[in-house]
Amino acid sequence: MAAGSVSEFIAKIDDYIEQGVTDGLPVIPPSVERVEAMVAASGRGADEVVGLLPPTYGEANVRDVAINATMAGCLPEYMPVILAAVEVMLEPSFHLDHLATSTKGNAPLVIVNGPIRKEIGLNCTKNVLGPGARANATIGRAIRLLLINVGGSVPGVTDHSCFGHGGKYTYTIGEDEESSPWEPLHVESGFAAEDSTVTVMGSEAPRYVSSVASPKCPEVTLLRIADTMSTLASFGMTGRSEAFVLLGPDHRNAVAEAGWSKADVRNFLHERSGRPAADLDAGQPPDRPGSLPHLREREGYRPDDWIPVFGSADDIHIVAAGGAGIVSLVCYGSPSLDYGRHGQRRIDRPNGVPR
Amino acid sequence: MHDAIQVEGHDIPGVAICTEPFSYGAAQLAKMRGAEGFRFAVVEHPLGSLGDDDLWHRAEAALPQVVDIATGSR
Repeated sequence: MAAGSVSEFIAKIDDYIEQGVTDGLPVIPPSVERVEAMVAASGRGADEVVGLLPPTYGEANVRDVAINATMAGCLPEYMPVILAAVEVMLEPSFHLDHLATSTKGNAPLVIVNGPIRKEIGLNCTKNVLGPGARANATIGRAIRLLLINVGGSVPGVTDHSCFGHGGKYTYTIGEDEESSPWEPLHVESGFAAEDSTVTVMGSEAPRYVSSVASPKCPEVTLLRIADTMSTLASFGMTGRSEAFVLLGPDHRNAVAEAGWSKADVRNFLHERSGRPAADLDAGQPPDRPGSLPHLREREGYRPDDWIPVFGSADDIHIVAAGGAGIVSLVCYGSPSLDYGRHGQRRIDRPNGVPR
Repeated sequence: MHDAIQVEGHDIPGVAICTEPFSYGAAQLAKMRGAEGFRFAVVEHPLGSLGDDDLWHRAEAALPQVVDIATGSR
């Protein structure tokens, strides 16, 4: 590229940032050719409406998605994943309006399953959620740019998050199906192993859980995860929520070697995630006694009554991810399932794209 | 703001109420929705952490604004 062209290119990038159509980082100027390639890779028409994005309820069509995906740095083959993720977020139960505007600062956590993970080079293992893989870095970014530019969820203006977190730039992973001792997330939900799916949940920043793992005492690691999910300040203690546990290989292998199934893990975490009622009372301003929904449900509760975090073991989702070491992550959902719950759908692939 | 703008579009009076830190965003959202200048009531922050008595005071502060907006010009 000639020196003049480079200067023009940089000026164009600066102009996009100045216009407020980025996440603060430089974007790729969306050339007609690139956007057309993105649309073609989706297998859909450019004018096909995807949905109305809050808070302005701007209409997003496939071309809009392609433009923002281009700006984010995506490759055309990522388009089916992005479109499926956006469609999950448009399901009424997801409550995208809450995610796009709330003070809570949640971000769409995108989990991809099936063959497409490998085809597009999604990282599922070491340093996942960190930098390094283009697909992880740009798929979540495309969704963020779409929310800003079409939905009008403008940071600090109509996106009222008290605090953001790194996942608001991108928050995309693949499940490490190949090294998991259990069936993957999408197969658990009834999809075929050869299907590719996307699962999305509005999520807090991930919480680290460190634990040396041993198959002789899998409870130790799981207790630490349960403890992490049971902090007084957690939104989950003030309303029924859900969580994705990204279980690292050391932890999941030790637990599985001890003979535990995914259902066993979920049930254990459900039983051990919670606090005595007295703890919840102590963590509540005295002029609002008993205002916690968990306690309101229990007229005449006693101080030592156990108050579970989750309404059901089914609200705890186990995903194999991450690299070797002593860390797993807990990703909490909305403050209440009434404010949004995760969704999942199959990724539709255009004809001619290998499954 | 979305709900208020929507119901006003159906000739049903609708007044949004927000606390002061959110007033700029509310005005901007109205502008983005093509309803620049759409009026709304503003009360002191916060709301979410208040008990019943303080919440009542906020409602008292909002009421004259709501009546004025609902019965006045947009």
